[in-house]
Amino acid sequence: MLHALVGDISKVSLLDTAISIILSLFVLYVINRIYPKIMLASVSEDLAAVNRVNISKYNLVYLLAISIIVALGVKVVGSLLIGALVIIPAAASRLISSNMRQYIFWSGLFGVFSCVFGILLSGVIKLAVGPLIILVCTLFFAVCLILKKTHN
Amino acid sequence: MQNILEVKNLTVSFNNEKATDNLSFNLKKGENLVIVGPNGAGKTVLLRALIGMIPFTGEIKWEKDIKIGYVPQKILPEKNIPLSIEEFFKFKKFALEQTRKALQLVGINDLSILKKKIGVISSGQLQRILIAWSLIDDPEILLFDEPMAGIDIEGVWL
Repeated sequence: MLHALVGDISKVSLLDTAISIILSLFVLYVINRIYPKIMLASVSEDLAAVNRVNISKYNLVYLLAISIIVALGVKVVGSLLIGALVIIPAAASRLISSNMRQYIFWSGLFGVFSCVFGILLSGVIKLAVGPLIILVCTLFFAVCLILKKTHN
Repeated sequence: MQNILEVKNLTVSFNNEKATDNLSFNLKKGENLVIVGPNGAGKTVLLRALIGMIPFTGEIKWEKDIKIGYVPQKILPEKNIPLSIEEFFKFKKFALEQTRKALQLVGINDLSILKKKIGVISSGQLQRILIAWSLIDDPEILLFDEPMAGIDIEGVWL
């Protein structure tokens, strides 16, 4: 039960890892293809419609991509914390980015570094990996928030 | 000359209240159509129905594959949305030189605005950006919904 809530990385097999890599690459490819249209729709649905963007279709594809990522992450950080792993790196990145390229770069970097540091930290202090990954994520968010506040 | 837009018996209703009622008109290439009315008359509703953003009854028929330029009355991008003006123009896949020319048309000569986030510029600047954005790909028809809202007098004369 606890594993379902906070995940257990030791239960992730080699096959799971391979499937995760393939699906992650697929999601990256899909997002790369649709992100200009999704962004345009998020600025103004009217402008997107005039430029023949099928908003409901792209929203559906985007949600499917997110659901794949959530499904992949549940085994590592658990159902309770996966939302945090999806949202916090992006929220932290948003605080310090002034354009889309920076936003994507920092989101990815924070997500990867949170997982790596969380796993390393778990080896040192012998606690569950999932919550530690989210703790590192939150630390990144706090640093970005301070940077933004001091910059303003 | 062939019609590029045919509107027949267009009615848009919200909660049983009609915003446009049984409206019919045609538009030919090169024609200008100005719609004048007080606030709440349904001008924006009509334009949003024309671009397919609002459900309606009746018929709206555009010429096949027509390229439409549209300047909404107002867009309210979130202040922190991480999207620069330069990236906003890249949605239309145009090079910097074409973007520069489009910006000059609306009186923006300082290209440093391209590095700014779309949510932090003033409403007047945003309106100019939207006009430039709608003009950049040389549309066959332009739909302007109070495009001068928020623009200073100098900009209106441009």
